[in-house]
Amino acid sequence: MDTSDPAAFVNGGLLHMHVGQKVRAVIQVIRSDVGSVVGKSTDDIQIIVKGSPPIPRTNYIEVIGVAVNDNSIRAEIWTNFGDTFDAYNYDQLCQLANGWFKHLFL
Amino acid sequence: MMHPNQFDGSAAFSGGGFMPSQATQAPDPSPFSSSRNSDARCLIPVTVKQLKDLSRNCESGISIDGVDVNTVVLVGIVCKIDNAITDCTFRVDDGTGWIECTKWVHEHIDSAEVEAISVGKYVRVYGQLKSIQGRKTLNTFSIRYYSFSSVSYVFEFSLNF
Repeated sequence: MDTSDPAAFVNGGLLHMHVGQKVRAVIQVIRSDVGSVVGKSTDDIQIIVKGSPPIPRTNYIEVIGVAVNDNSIRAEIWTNFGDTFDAYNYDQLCQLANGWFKHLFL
Repeated sequence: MMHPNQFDGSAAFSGGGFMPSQATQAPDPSPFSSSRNSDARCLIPVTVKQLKDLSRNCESGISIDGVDVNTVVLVGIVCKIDNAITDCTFRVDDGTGWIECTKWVHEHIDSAEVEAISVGKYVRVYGQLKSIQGRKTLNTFSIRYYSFSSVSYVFEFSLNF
């Protein structure tokens, strides 16, 4: 068992708290560029995810990687999360995992 | 002599009207009393971080907030698999950490379950926590692929517990 390398649950508004650290986020893809994906986080903030998404990809993708700055992530792991997703529920989880229940995650 | 506006506490509580005596006090109705819960089998959603931070209750073993931890469920990504003839050992990473899980293969249904999992897939694992010489592992009863839309529900369920 090892908890030395956690990935914090983040939305766009919480990304600034973990710059330089490992994070995980679910984004709704807006468009794909060369070497990056522009998406909308679960709190409706536009973020850039650097890397190569899976092919084929779904509308919602979970990315796990390092937060480069306030609005971009360098992704190491991409996971298709389907074309429908409860973004509000996930956003609430992000709030709780970085707030009152932070001790259960980080 | 007391001022008319002063509150005489000793007189107010001397009758004991709202303070039940020790003899008539009802037993603790909490279902989470560890001394009464030692034989209960609870299924508890957890994170790996929670399992790492578990306290050891001398009477009943491992507990979370006074509730004995016996069977747990967690959701994470399979990050390593070692297949042997009689068992399969795999690592599940839920973002808070990783834990080693062992699934013993006795029957065809066990081997079918094990063959269906692969590295990089989200799974839901039910198992019993084992601690041997300070090293915690999960003796797995069941491992299933997990639907992505429900991932956040499982984590939130572990918060509400």
